[in-house]
Amino acid sequence: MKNFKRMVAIVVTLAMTAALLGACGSKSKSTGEKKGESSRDSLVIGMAAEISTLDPHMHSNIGTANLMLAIFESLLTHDFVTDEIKPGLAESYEVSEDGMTIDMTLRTDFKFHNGDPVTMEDVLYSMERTMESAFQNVFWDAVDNVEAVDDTHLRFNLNQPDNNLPYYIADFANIVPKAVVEADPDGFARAPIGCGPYKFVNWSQGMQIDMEADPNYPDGEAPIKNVTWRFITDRSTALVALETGEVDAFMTMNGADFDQIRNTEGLTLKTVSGNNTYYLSLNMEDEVLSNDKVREAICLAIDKKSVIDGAEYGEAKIADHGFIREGQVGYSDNFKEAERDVERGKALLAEAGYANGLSLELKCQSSKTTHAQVIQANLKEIGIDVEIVQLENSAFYADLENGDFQMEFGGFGQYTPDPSSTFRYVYRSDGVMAGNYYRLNSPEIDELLARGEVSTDPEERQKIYEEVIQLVEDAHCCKYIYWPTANIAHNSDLKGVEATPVGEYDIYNYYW
Amino acid sequence: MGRFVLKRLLQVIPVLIGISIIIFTIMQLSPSNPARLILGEKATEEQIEALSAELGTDQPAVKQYFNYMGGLLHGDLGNSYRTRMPVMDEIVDRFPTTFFLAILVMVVSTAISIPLGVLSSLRQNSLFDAITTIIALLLTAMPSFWLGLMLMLIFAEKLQWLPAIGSTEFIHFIMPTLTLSAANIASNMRMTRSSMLEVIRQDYIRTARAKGAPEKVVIVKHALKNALIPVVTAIGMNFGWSLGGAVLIESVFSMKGLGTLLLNGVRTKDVPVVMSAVLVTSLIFCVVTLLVDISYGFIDPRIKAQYENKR
Amino acid sequence: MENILEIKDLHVQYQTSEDTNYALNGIDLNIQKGETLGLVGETGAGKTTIALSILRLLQSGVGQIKSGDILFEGKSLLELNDTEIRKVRGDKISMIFQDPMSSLNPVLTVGDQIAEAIDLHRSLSKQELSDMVDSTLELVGIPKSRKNDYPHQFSGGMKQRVIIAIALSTNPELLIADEPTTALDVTIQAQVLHLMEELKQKLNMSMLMITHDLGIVAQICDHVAIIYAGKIIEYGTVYEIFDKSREHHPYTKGLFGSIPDLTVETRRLTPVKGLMADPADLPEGCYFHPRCDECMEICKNKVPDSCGMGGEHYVRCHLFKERQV
Repeated sequence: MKNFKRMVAIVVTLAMTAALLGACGSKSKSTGEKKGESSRDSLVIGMAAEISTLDPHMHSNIGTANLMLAIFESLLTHDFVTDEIKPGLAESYEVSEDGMTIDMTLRTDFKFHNGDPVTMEDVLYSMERTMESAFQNVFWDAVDNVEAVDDTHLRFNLNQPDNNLPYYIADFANIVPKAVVEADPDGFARAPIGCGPYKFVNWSQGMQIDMEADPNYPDGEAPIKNVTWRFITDRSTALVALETGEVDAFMTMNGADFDQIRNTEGLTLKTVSGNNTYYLSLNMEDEVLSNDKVREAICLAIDKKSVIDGAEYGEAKIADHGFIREGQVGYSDNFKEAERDVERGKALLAEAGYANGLSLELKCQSSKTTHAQVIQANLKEIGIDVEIVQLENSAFYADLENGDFQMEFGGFGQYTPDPSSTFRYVYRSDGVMAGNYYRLNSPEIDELLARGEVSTDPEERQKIYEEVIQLVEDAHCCKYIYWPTANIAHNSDLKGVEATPVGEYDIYNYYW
Repeated sequence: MGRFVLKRLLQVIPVLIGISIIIFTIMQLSPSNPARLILGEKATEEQIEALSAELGTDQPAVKQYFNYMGGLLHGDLGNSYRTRMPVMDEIVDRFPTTFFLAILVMVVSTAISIPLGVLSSLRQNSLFDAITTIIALLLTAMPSFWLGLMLMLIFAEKLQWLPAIGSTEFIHFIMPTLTLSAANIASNMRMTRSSMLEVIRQDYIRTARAKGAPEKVVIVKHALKNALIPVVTAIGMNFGWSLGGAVLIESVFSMKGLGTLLLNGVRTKDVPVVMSAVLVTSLIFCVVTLLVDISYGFIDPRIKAQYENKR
Repeated sequence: MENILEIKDLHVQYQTSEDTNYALNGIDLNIQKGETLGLVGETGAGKTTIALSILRLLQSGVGQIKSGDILFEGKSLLELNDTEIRKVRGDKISMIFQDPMSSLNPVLTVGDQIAEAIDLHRSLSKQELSDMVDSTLELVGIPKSRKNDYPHQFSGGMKQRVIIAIALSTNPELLIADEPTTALDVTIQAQVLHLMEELKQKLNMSMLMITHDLGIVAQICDHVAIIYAGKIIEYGTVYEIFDKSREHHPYTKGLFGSIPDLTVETRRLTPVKGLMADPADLPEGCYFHPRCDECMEICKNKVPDSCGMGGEHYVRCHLFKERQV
């Protein structure tokens, strides 16, 4: 009995010691207040995926860019709500007539968070860095070099015109202090120094990143002093955290929760049509699907609205124009897409020799199973039996790249509002590994795309892209189904919040 | 006894080696390239090759394995593919949270389940026994993440008594502990009950009563101590289970522990992180199992004699 | 001679969900102060039940004392509350059980278990307690250096000595011994019996010796009671019972007849034919009648009264008539 008591004592002591260690662990700064008693100088924003680095040149993920936007400044600024390009570190920019050079004039009033002024040297160093970065060098194919004309004038020398460049510059070419980065690049990725509206304070790996407004920011100190970015991977938990006030805003809630958020007093949901496009791809190199009639039949059988209602809680827009949104180059009222027609679909299948029906395989990611099921139901109506195969992300993409599929349901996001940035991946015959999974092989389209990329004539480009999307539509290589709703949910007292198609949020604009 | 402990500690080594081989093999079999996962879909072949060379993932699997194990011998757990930071730092940072949670779970579930189990055995087939049996079944049937979310909805959202997320203060551990304790309580209680039922029927219990010992003394001093051996085994096993269950629960409650580290590592095929997290967890489990075995020696002198006599 | 224990018309049943076992059906028994009463019978006759009933150790809920009384030193044991009966157990009345192997708690030292028995009933200082444990061990012939050993470190015979030590440590008035040597081999048996006798003399104890072994009865008992199917069917002094010239109950005759005679060559043993009556389904009339060679009509219907056979000897059987000898 004595020994037993001793064991108990040891265990209890261990437990208490561990408790002490645990409780003395890193305490977080402001964790947000309960609803109704917001402290006006702090903000907690939740996001679902943790970022891997705060080095602005070591990522190509829009989600990560949110934090970069707060800490860093680029030569140009991308207004995510209107898709306009505005000045940033460069107070003006000019593209030459032939589109082969871009000139910029730098502001001189920006300082890094450590007090050092932002110089041309830093700018050149940063541009070099992004152009060499494994994550970002694809964006700069059109750039030959960047040179300093003088201390405040910068010139981009291009090898071909590029309509996307301003966006890449704004989104990824953040300016970093050369001396600091060179001294300790790895440390920089953990504790960055930029010249944006917020200073980096602390990163608790896997949990949160803390920032503080820089009082010396030339355009004025940000209204909210302390910002914490909290990583919460479980969406249900995120919803609860929003409701309890432990988090003031959360990006990208589930469609299933929209109604609940709208009905909760004190919470606001902002939505806008996102810039991703979800579609069904048909492998043109597959034995059965190489038959044009079969593909056309499948495209005719898809009921876009049913997919949105059945799998997206009715909270998405029908993609009626492929990748192109209204207002973007290539959007035209002349675009012809066939209406849903089950009878004609059946007839086409019969003509193709499948009057008695057909079996096909549909691959999708596990998060898209419901969508696949609706498509399965759609296709049943024309006599096609669909077998759904769910895959985990990396396996899914591996199969797509290898052409190891018949039909697949997936999405693709646009980096810039200009179609050339997306089409080079999804429609070029050499883009099989990057987005042209359905293996579209059309010299005509390739040629059009090549011209479109380098053209500087808006009218010419409009015609080119109109033609491209009509050709793609008539090739029946895929059926564009919906544009999901980008959203951000937040405490109603928080002002200045807008949902953006790209899913990037400029917290500089937020205030209580 | 000392020799016994030493022998068992040495046995831990082949166990860990075996685990490392299994985990490493599984990671290699998954069909994705870590460099590609890090760089994203838009990266080119050259970029992926370059990163692979930097990470060392382009080398043959066996060589990678030995590199990692070699590093282990120097106390180097490798660098995360994703963050390039030493895994050791991450583990040291997160270890207290997970360990504390597992200990709390063990203490809470033992404190609740043993008395309940003893009482059930004494009131066998009574209403009390029936109710506790039903509760035990319910607790076992509930999936842990569901229970966690339910508790969160009730206590964090509706009542606003407890915070939903975090792991920096003691109050953050209340719901996760309750969640993980649920199934433990159920199984420990049943185990205690059945063990007690067996022990109560023994002759030496009758002897104790015949001496005139009050029932409380008979139960605690005579019966319980004998009933403890299978219960202690179950507690040890459950500790290991808690370490594993912590993965889900830490994710639900957004806690900074080994569980979420492991989960992220698996998602991004971050081999050093996964290997290290699994090995650390296995080591803890081996040590706890050893402590459990040693405790048998304190409970039952016949087992202690075995330990001492075994060469 | 006053009686230290008197059992009056005791009825005990075991109630399970399936059926009721009528274990004791009107037991009348007295133990005189300072004497040893032998209680003899087959397995299942109710011997252990009597022992457990005295100390009220029947399995709660299952074993029920239906009627009758048990008087110890003139006071009823059945009317005592829980605290009072606990005071009696282990102090005034001690009990030792059949199987020494399982009667000791394996996780407590022998010294602890003896100390507990004493400590429950006496308030002594730690040193006094320890001394008493030592002397008790000496009493039963175990070196006191073994005080801190565990039961598994002792042989069967030594374990039984420990049990005896536990039982006698408080100097009880009455010792109930339920087949204490059955599980031991013959040589140890002799030792243990000898020890018990010695102690009984020394401590001036009364003893209830439950056994199925007539040899033990002959050796140490003063009076003998023979029990069958929960009834005492014969009683007398040990001389009276063993006296072949007297008349005995057919069952008793059968018991004696089944002892093999070492001087005579026999080919087969002579058991009592049939099996012990099923306590859940007792026969009408005399419980023994289905097995009795001398069964008469009346035996099948009427329960026999006790019939005095002279001296303290009586038998419950229809064969005999009251007589004085």
